[in-house]
Amino acid sequence: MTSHHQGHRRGIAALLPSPHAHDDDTHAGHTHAGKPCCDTGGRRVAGDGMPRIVFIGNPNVGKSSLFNAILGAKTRVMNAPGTTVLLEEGVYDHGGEDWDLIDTPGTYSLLPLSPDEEVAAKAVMGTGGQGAPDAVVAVVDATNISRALYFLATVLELGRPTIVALTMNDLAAKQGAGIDAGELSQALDGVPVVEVNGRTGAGRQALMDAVAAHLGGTPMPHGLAPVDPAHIDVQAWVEGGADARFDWAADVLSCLDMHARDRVTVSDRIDRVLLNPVLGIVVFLLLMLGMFEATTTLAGPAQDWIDGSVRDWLTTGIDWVFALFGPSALDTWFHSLVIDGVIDGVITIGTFIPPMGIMFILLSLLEDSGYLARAAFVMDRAMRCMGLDGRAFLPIVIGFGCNLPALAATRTLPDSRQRVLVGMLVPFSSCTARLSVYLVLAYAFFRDQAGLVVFLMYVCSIVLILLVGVLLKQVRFRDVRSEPFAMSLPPYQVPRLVTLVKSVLMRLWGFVHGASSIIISMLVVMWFLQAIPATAAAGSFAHVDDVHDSVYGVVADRVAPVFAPAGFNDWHASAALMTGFVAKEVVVASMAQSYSIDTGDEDEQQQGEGSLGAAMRASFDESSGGHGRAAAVAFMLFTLAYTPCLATVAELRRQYSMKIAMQSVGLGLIVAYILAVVAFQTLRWVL
Amino acid sequence: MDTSSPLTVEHCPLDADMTITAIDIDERHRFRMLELGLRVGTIIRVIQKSNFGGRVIAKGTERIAIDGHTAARVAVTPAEGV
Repeated sequence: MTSHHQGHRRGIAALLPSPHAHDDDTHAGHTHAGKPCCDTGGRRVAGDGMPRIVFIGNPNVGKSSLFNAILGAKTRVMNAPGTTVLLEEGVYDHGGEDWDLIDTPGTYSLLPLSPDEEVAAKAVMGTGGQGAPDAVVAVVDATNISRALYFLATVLELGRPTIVALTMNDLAAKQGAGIDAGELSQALDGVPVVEVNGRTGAGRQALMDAVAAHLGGTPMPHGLAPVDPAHIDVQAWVEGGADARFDWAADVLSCLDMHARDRVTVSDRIDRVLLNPVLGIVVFLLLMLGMFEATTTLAGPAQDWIDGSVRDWLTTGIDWVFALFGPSALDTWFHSLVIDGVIDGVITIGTFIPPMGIMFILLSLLEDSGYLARAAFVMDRAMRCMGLDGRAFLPIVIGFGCNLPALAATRTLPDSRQRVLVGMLVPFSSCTARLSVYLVLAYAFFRDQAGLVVFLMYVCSIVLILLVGVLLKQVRFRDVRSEPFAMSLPPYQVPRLVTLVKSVLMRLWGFVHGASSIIISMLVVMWFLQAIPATAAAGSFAHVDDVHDSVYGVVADRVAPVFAPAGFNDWHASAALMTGFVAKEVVVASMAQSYSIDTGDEDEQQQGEGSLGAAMRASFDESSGGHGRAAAVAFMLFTLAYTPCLATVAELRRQYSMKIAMQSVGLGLIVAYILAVVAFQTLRWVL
Repeated sequence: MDTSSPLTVEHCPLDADMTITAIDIDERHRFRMLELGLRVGTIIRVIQKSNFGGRVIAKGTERIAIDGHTAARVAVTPAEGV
């Protein structure tokens, strides 16, 4: 069998999430949804016996860094039940006792303005089907102490055992506003306070020891009145007590020996450049360009090495193992299956590691340094037309390099609805894999204007993102609207190398772990479709000479008439598009293979102008009734708009849900088909 | 600048202590501003102008970024005796 993987690079990838990631059922099992708590000797523990510890705090206070420092690789990401809001969870072993630790999205209030804040509020209040926490770790930012104390007051009023994790105290000290943890605890009438550093992990053991010591309960500071969240009007409670809480926070602050000086900080000086009306945008765009280049140009050689050298080594190794069973073993269907199915899958996952790794490094740098909050501010106005956060600009730009790291970058958006909306827009960013298809067809059909045609495809991509964005906002995301922008800016920090490496490795492992199962199984399915002969003269199983005579070819034949209104009712084209669903890099190779043309080392221009281009012109002219150029444009537009690759489908599922992944696939196919038909039916009058 | 209109965060001078006198946005978001620490009577300084009227406000050691639309609706007056 001649496999489609020849000439395939960086492409075929399809991923299933880990068995538990985003699995609401699994989640329910860990959060004791709907299960009553019980009393175990004065300690409230959840139904399965594991104390449930909820971490909560304002955004950008180092809460997630602290959570990851405590749990390390045991952290797993999941969706809150019935939502696309991400929660991190993990089981922590404290002296032989397992605790269920839950990290919530950052929020300024228990009166939510977004689904993410709602999930955080419900998690700490133990409402909405979530079990009541056995303890709350309230992460308090020392550099924003008055606001943090206000929020802490609402958390304390819930009456759950509460331990304060004091973060950013080193930065506060540099500003002359350092806080003594013991003094703060005293001002809080004995509520335990532990100074921690999420970036270094310092203080995490003391924090968990404090949690263990206070699972039975913590004091309620004077001036605050406990409430039962299950029996109150939350809005009336939060709003009604706001002034009293600020007064309480002011009282607490007055007890502290703080020497806060309102002075110009290093962060202020940096912001004079990074938030400057003109320079701020220039720096942001340069950073975007840098990230784009890093995930494409910089990752390219590593991808080529994995796709070339590593593939050769693996193939040689497997051939050596098969040869142990005799020379004929190398000619068996099983050998072909391992090489063209399983190894192809492994290599495909491998080729995505460099761009994903680079993206994870850059995202960690942006997040840990404090710049990402500034990026949201700088690009706020630009993205407001679609009701999106300024940070949405990042994944869309990255998408023009590769859609997969772009989907990873949607994690930086704090609003889950926006995250899904941007996730559904990313596949319309024309990634570099699609460029090879444009180039070959442009040179084949528009030799002198090839550059212009390719440029117009990128223009179409941008227009599509805008139009589909507006459409989705009107139909599917009506609740996503422009909100007033008001955000606390964290001080800049130098990212810690060890923390960064750990974070990147954990994220990469999550990707590979989620990717490996479906990519390999999908490629095995593809292998079988191409291995099974469909005609009498096709050959034997796994030895089909012409792919058109395989089951795969038969399916392509059946699909082809669907594209008649778009001008390419041709099995070569439909087979290429089917293969392109797996990865766009293989579209051209699939075309060449179906025409039985060996393109060798030809570049895209040579392929377009050579025998492959001639064969395509003949096919498209025939299928379109003499309007081959119009059909070629339709084919390119279809390639632009439909599902980029199986890897993105699986990543959409991993990040959001299977339903959203399928909606994205359906949306892409519908938009692509309409676009191709309209383009062909219009252009055939002039081309 | 229209001198008959109240001074707002959008137009107030940089690095000058100002007192918030009114926040003219919808109730939901006004309460969020309050929770961020921006309440009537709070003393603030505008320390950075950004694009499209966006401003960075300093309140003690805290820094809060607001968009131009919101900045135009936070009325301020020079703080007295500071």
